[in-house]
Amino acid sequence: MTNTLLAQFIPEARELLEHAGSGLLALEKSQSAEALDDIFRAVHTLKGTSGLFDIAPLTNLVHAAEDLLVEVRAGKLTLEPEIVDGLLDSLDLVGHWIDALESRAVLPDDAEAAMAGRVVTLRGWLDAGGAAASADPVASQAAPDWLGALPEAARQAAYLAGAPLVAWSYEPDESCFFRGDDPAHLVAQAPGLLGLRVLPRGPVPPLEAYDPVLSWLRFEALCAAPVEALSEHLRYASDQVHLSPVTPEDLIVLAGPEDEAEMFGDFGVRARALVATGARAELEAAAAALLSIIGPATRQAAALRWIAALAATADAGALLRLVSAIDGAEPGPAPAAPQNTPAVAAPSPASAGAESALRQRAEAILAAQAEMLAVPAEAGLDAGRLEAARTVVQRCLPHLAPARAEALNAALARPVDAATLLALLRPADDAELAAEPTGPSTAVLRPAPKADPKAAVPAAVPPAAESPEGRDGKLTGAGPARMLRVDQAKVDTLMNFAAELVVAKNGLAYLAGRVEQVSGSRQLGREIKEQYAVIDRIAQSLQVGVMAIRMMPVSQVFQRFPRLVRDTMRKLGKEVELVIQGEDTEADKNVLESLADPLIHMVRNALDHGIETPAERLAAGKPGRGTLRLSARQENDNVIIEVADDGKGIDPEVVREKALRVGLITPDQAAQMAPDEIVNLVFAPGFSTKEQVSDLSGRGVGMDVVRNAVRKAGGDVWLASRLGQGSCVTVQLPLTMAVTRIVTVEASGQQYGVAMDAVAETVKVPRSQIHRIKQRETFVLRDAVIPLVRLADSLGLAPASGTPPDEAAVMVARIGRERVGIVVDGFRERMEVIVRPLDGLLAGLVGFSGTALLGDGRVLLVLNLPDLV
Amino acid sequence: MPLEQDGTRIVLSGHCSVEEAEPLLDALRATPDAVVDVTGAAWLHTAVLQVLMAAAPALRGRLEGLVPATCLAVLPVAEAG
Repeated sequence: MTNTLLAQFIPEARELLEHAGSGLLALEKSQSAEALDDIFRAVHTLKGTSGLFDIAPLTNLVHAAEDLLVEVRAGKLTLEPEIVDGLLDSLDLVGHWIDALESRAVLPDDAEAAMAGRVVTLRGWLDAGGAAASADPVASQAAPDWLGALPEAARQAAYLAGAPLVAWSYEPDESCFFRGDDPAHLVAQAPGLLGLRVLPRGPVPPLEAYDPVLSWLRFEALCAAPVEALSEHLRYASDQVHLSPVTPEDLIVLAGPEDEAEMFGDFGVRARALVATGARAELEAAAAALLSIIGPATRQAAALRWIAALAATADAGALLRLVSAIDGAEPGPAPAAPQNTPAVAAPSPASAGAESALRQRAEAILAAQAEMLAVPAEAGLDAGRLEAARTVVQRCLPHLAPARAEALNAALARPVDAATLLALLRPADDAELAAEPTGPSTAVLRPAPKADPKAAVPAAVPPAAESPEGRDGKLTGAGPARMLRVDQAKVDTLMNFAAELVVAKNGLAYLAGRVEQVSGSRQLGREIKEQYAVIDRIAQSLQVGVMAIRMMPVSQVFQRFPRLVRDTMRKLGKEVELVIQGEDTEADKNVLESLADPLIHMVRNALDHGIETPAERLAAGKPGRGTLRLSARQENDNVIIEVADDGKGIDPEVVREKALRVGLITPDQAAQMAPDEIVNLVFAPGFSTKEQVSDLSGRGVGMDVVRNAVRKAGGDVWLASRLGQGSCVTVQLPLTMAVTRIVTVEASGQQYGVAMDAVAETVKVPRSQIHRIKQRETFVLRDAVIPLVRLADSLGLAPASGTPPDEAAVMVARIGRERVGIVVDGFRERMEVIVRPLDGLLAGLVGFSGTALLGDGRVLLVLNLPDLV
Repeated sequence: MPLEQDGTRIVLSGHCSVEEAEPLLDALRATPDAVVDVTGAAWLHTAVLQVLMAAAPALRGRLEGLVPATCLAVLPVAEAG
């Protein structure tokens, strides 16, 4: 991937999705505010980060999910299972997109359509829940109240341009210049730009304190273009932009003082007649004539200008409304188009409410500052504290009552000491509290950092000044643990080097031997051996250290199961309790990854065919709710994972019958097999077919696939079952696959490696004790008959020359659950090697699992025993 | 150079990027009665526009385009010459 930012985003996004997903499941179980906060934080962060990339569908979908969560958090919406389903599905879709991003760096082509469907669903719940207007930049339909502040000529031009019209505001965030943004350029390039107002977001700092790299502008613009075109144009700034589609009628905003002159009545009568007769040119002339004799700032003048501009084109209704606005036939501050311009001449109740809420908050912040200043502090701290307070007050200014803001601003312009500032903050504060009954409660909402003077450092200020859903996700999300996110390939490379070092150091042992042989200097040989011991120790520590990096808790694999179990359960109408144990057990990442798919298979099987429906369970005298236990533990160098259910178990008789019918076993074998062995036949390839799935409660589905996957990773799997009480599948896997301990054996003068794991023991068997039963040689080891295989024969090598020795060296190997004796010419040293798989021309070679490089530079073939026996 | 100063005359020309904001601010701080000549300027970055809006020096020339024109509309116009 060329885009490093995207490369960073992908694992982060996955992590956030996982957080959100597991949080949702936890939330469904118990309504905890903490879990909800976690989910919200994850989704919010994801939305924020996704905005960096050209993936608008993803951002929009996450945004919709976030809006839904906001309502849930506010208690306006209860989290029904359907909503959880919807949210989980949306997260899945996002996960799917992330996969696509990773492989192709773009979203799939159908992303836009898929997003639209999901967003409609999510927003549907939002509306059904009686939620307030959504925060989607496009969704809100009311015309913004700043529309009237745009130049009248621009509005008239837009009216003439007609729909689609979009009014949008854009507040580039303070640090946007650092990202290379040029907001003015973005605005200038907006499609169909007709009207614009540029204003400061807050008081402009004086030139002495001015910081040229901070952005402080707000743009209010009017475009004759479809919303889609604009949101596409502004996609990189979508979180700083608010888009509202407006109708041409919305643009007629009349402001200014009333003119009480009587002539307006006459004009009204005449104008109505002109509109009725369609004499538009005369209407325009009449309006122009009247305009020339009245003051241009009045509301009537504004209406006249609109009439003059629109007379030629507008429909009669619009013109009549304008005429009414002039002669006062309709009362009210915005009579021109009352149904369309509700929020202009007087602020609507909603926006007034928002304003006063902001004002209350600002006052609460000021009160907190006052309280903080009242705490005595050391002289050294005082200056910084005062500075911090000043900054906070300054930031609050735009949201305060105008008179108060002015007074404070004037005070701030002079250098003030803490006492003065305190005095300034206090009295108005008290007045405010007295004036607004809700004041005291808001003051409690933001308690002052009373006892902690450190809280007064500026760093503590921004969170308080920000909106409640500000950057808190980022701040609290970073835990105390310091983590590195490293590409796995880098660790793998390191691992390979460490392993090669382990192998290379073996060369020193050879060297020591050679020195003794060639120069005859035992002293030098011993010294080399001492050095070898030191390097050996370090190399092993290094290897252990690198392996520890690759070790992951099993929870990495287990964490997907709560979701899987829940979904499957809901689909099947069963009730299952999932119990997870030992998720802290660690294993190599590759091993865990090889385990993931088989585990899913097994869990599905257990749910689908193991655990019965509640009715069946109750009939069998079991609790209606089944239990599925997933457990992990470490045993020596192995991880043991068990999937156990308390379902109906597997009937060995059914398995026996099936195995006989398919021809897996002969009747003789069947008679000798213990029930335990019989149930394990479900792992045999060819045991399960579609038809048998239904007969056999489907326990055999893909179990041979499971076994193959596990064996490939160097492990094994077996099953234990008790009819009516449940079954348990046990998977055993090596902790790590990186370094293999092998023993070298000799056959016909050639050396081969055998993985130590497979070797049970080595014995010397006198020739006299080797017996031939039918075609096979066998010998008896501790009362067990063990078949013998001669390695030289299996490999097709010529038998060793000379007389055969009196005793055969036999390596007893475990193959699956059987033991086989392998006759070799002799055993050589044990060592740790990296087994490299055969590739290229050798890839198809049967009988070898790979090659390893020896300390003296030779290549050793490592045998794959199951192939040979 | 997009930014040149000659006495009280500050000339912005060509494409002024965000880099010009700081030197322009310094120049305006140092010369409170400066006249900024934008006749030869093709585009001013937002940061530059902001500095001009904050310092409000007299302007010579007008910029093409709705956005810069709106931003700088309130600035006084310097007399010709």
